[in-house]
Amino acid sequence: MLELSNIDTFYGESHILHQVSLAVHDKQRVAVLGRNGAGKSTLLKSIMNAGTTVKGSVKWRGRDVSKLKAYQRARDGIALVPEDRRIYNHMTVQENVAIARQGVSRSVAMTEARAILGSIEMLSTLGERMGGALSGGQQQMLAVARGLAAKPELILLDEPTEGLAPVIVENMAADIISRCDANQIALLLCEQNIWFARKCTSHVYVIDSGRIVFDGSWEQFAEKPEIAERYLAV
Amino acid sequence: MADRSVYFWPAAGVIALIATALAPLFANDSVTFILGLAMIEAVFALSWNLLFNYTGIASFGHAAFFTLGAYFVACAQRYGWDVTFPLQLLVAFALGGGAAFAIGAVALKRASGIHLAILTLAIAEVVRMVIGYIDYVGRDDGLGGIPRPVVNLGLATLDLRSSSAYYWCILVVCVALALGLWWLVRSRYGRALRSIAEDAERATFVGMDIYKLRLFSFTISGAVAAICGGLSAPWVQIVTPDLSHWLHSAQPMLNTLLGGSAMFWGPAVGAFAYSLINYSTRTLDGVSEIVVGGILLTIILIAPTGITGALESLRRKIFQKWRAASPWAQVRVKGEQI
Repeated sequence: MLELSNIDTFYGESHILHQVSLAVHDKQRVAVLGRNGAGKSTLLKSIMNAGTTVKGSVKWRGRDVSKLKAYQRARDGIALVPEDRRIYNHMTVQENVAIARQGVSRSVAMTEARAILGSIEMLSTLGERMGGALSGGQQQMLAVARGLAAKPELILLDEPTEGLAPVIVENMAADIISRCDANQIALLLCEQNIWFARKCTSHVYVIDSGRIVFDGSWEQFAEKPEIAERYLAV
Repeated sequence: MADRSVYFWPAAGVIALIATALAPLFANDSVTFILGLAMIEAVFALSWNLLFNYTGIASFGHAAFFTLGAYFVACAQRYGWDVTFPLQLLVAFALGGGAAFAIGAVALKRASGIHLAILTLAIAEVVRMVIGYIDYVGRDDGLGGIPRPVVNLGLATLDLRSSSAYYWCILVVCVALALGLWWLVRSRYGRALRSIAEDAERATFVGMDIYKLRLFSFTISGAVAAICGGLSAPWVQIVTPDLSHWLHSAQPMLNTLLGGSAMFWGPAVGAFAYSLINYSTRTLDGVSEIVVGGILLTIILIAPTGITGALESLRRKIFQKWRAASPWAQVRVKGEQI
């Protein structure tokens, strides 16, 4: 479904990602683990073509999408939920979700937004509340809900658990898994929280200093404790 | 109990509209003239705020589009072109929109922020200087003696030559344009524009083509500004290159600051307030500019969110106190205690 082959990513002159290869298959849930500054966010921005210069091959559903702009990739079925949530404070929760639904009337977008919110426990009663009046966990789930509203085939989540209380992280994991399963959406999750990543995904990559240093299942990851020790310990 | 405070702004709007419509019946000619100009400047400022508040683009040269519309209608009326007045306004709309589209198609791709603002300022200055070289439009002297139109509607003739008749024509067109812009900012395009203004990258991630949306907003804004210019030419009965001067481009910004950019009608309120201040101080020979500047500075310092922002917070305070003191609130509190 998504295939990155030997990509190198640059911010201006700075070389951030080095020969990164990664694949996400249909309906698969994949995690990318790494410390701060390892290149996780840059990886997701490279997939979206958002502000980075990328060399190498980015294939989406077997097609080279290197020349597509970020909004075209979003319309093509890839949704990025960025790290900083970026909620529209002046809009209600429902409107925040509806705005991601392009090409349909407002009433259809709002109906779909209500349905999405109704299926997410953390937001089901907050549709009329203003985006700026939500807690951190609620805002994060709203950002995920907005990603889902575009009916993507792949959702990219950038550190959704950052700064959230453990109990909220647990609820969020349940919500994310159920939404991905119900809508048959593939997931690429960039995280530092190993528990959360393991709960949500079946395959894991570890990234360090812009290079993929591990690629395997969670069982294989568990068999190599030195990977976590070396690349993920704070 | 229903929240009656939501009727405050619609009620204020209706009262203001009725008062403005009746002005020619009780006000003298100079007040009517100022009000006519204020209506045009109000819509001009609304069109600028479509860019500024709703799209996140600052244009320092918006008067260029106003000037295009004004000169087209001025020439059509002055030289008796065989184009009816409604069609003149439509052509002005298309001219302004076309020019904005052409400029925006290049400028919005290449520039943003202060660079875009300066670029638009430069374009307006170029328009002003080019007009100054064209004999047909009176070079630097401008084009005077512009007659007001008589519109042949087939079955009837609409004679707009009198001040009051043309005033009501301005009112109808301005209300229609303002309502059109109001509808636009509430449509899904308007919501998309606001999301771009707030965070363009985020808008991209939900699939919005920010370049096209910005270009759309720039085009509509330029087209509306041009109609405003078209309306003003027969009202003032003279057009000069100074219509494209940067001072005229600054006028919608000032009106927006004065009225408040956050509420849709803020720039319109600002335009009327500015006209009122200007009119009230016109007899202060030699110091009127200083007094006007001082008043504007004071208002902006006291109410940084503009007149509408200040009125809105006042409305909230008053209605909160009123609700707390109402017998219904007392009953509710007692009920909760029981």
